[in-house]
Amino acid sequence: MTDLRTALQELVEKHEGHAPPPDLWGRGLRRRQRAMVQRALVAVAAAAAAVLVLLSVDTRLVSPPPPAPVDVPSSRLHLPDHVYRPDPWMSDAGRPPGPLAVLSAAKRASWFGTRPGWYGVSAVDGRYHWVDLPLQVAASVEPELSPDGTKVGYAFTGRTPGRQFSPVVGFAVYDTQTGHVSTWPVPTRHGLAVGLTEGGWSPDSRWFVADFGQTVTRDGGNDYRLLAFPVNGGAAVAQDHADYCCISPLGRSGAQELAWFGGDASKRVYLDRPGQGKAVSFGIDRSGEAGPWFSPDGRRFVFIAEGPAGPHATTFRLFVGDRVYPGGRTTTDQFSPRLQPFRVLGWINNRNVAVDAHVSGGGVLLLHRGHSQRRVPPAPECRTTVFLARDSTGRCRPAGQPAGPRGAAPSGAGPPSSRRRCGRGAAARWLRALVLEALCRRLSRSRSTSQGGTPR
Amino acid sequence: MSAPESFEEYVAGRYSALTRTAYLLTGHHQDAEDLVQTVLMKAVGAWRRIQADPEPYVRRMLVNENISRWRRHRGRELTVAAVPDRTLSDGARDDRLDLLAALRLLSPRQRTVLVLRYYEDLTEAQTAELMGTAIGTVKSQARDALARLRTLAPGLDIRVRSEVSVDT
Repeated sequence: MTDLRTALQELVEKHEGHAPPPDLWGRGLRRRQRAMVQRALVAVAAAAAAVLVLLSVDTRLVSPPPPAPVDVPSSRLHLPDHVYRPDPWMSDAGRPPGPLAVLSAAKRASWFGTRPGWYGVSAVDGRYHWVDLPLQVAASVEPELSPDGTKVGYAFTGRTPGRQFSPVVGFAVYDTQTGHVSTWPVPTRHGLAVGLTEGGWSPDSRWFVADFGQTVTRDGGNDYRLLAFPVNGGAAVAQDHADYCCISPLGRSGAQELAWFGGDASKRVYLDRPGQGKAVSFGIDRSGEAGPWFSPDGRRFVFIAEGPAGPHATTFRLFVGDRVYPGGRTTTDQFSPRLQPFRVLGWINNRNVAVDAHVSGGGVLLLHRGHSQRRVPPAPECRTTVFLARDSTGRCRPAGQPAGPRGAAPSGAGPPSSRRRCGRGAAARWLRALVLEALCRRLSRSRSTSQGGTPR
Repeated sequence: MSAPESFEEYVAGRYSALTRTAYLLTGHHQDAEDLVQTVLMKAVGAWRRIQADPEPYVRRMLVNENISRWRRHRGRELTVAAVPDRTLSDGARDDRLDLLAALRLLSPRQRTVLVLRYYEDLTEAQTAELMGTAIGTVKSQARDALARLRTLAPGLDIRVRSEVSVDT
C-alpha cells in the first residue's frame, strides 16, 4: 500500500533540478515590452476598424443626404441607351431624384448571401438605385413601373411557414420618391391563383390595375376579376365584363382608358376609364390571347392570338386591327407568317410597334411598319433590353436604336464602375468582412474547445 | 537594468521546488523547466506589486500557464488507452514509472488537483482558490482523478492519507 504523497515525493526526488538560467529578469523585461507594443498595435487597429465599420454602416455620415423629391420638368428627363445589370454590392444609399426610366430585377448581395432585388435607373441623372419594395413581393407577378416613372405597382404574398411559395393576398403601390406605400388586401380563402395574376397601369398613372383569378368551385372553376386601385387612396373599383382579360397599358390615345379582352371566347375588346363604370366594346373576328395594345392615337391595335395549327403544337401570331365604333365588329390581319411573337414591347409611334419575337431560329427585336418588318439586332454590349421605356413625349424606343439628342444619357450615368468598388466604401466592406471572419473563427474555435474538440 | 535582490533571492531559493511541482504538473523535465521560466519571466512585470509575497502569484501562474499550454499544444499530445509495457526489474522504479505514466494520462485539471492536494499539501479551500474554482469541483475532480489513477495503474494500490486513517 502506497501513500500518494510519499509516492509523488519519491517521483520528484529523481528529478534533477538545474540551476536557474541567467538573466531571467532581463528576459522578463523584454517580454513585457514586446507585449505592450503588441497590445498597443492591436488597440490602434481595433479602433480604426471600429471607426471604419461605423462609417460604412451608416453611410449618411460620409455621404451627402439624398436629394428631396422634386418636380422635375419633362425636358430634363432622359432615357438610357442601354440598361446594365448593376453590381450586386451597389450602395443602398439614397433614393432616385425624380422619376425612374427603368425598373428591373437583379441579384442583391449582402454579407449573409444574395437575394432577389429590384433596381431603377433614374430618368434625371441616369444613376442606378435599389428600389426597396415593402412587404413580401410576389415572385409570380412582375412589379410594374408606372408610365410617369414615380410609382411601382406589385402583388404581395402572405407568410405561410413551411411553404416555398406563399399565395398572393393583395396588391400595393410604392412611391419611389417618398417611400410611401398603399396596400389593398384582397380577402380570399386560399389566396389568388398563381399564373392568373397580372398587373398594369392606366395611361395617366393614376390607377394600378390588377387582373387575377381565384378558385371558387370544387371542380376547379375560377372567378376572374379586374380591380383598379386609385393611387391617391380609396377603395378598389371592380371593372365590368372582365371575366378573363390580360392587362396591358394602352398607348397614349388621349383617353385614359384600359383595354382588355372579354365576352364570348374573348372575341370582344373592352375599353373603359377606371372608376367610370362605362365600358364600351366592339367585336373582333378571333379570340385574343394577349393584348390588345393600342397605338398612341388610339385608332389601331395589335394583339397576340392563335395562328394556324402547326405540326406539333398551336402557334401564336401577331395580329393588327382597327378600332371601330362601340357595338361594331372589326376584321384583323396577320403579320408575317414566320413571326412568332413573345410579347409586344410597345408602340413607337402611330405606325411602328416594337415586338420581342422569334424568327428563323434567333430572337431579334423587330419593327413592324404596316405589314412589313425590319430587324434591329440588339447591341452586343447590351445585357438587358430596354423596353416599355417612354420619354417625355410618351414614345417607346427599342434597344439598339441610336438615341437622339433628347434621349442622350447625361454624362456620368450608367452602372457603378469598378473604380467605385475600390473606394472608401469598398475598403470598409473588406474590413468589415475580415472582422466578421475573425469573429466567426473565434466563435467556432471556442465552440470546439468547449466541446472538447481539437482547435484548428 | 539589473534585477532587484528580492527577485534574485526568490529565484535562487524557490527555483528547484517550483521545477519539481512543474514536473508533476507537466510530466516532462523539459516542459517543467520551460513552464517555470515562462512564469518567472511573466512575474517580472508584476514584481513591484508582488515582491512582498510572490509565492501565491507564482503558484497561480504556474497552474494557469500549464493549463493554457496544454490547451495550445494538446493537438500534439499523444493519448493512449493503456500504460505502455516496460521491461524493468527494479520494483521501486517500476512503481515510479507507473505513477508518472498514469499521471500523464489524467486531464491537466485532475493532475493539478492531485499535485496541489497531495504533493503541495494544500487544503481543498486553498486548492479551489488557487485554481479559481469551487470547493465542490475540487472534491469531485480529486475523487475522479484517484479513481482513474487506480484504474490506470492497478499495481500501485494507492491510498491517500484520509483513506489510510479510516482503514486503520
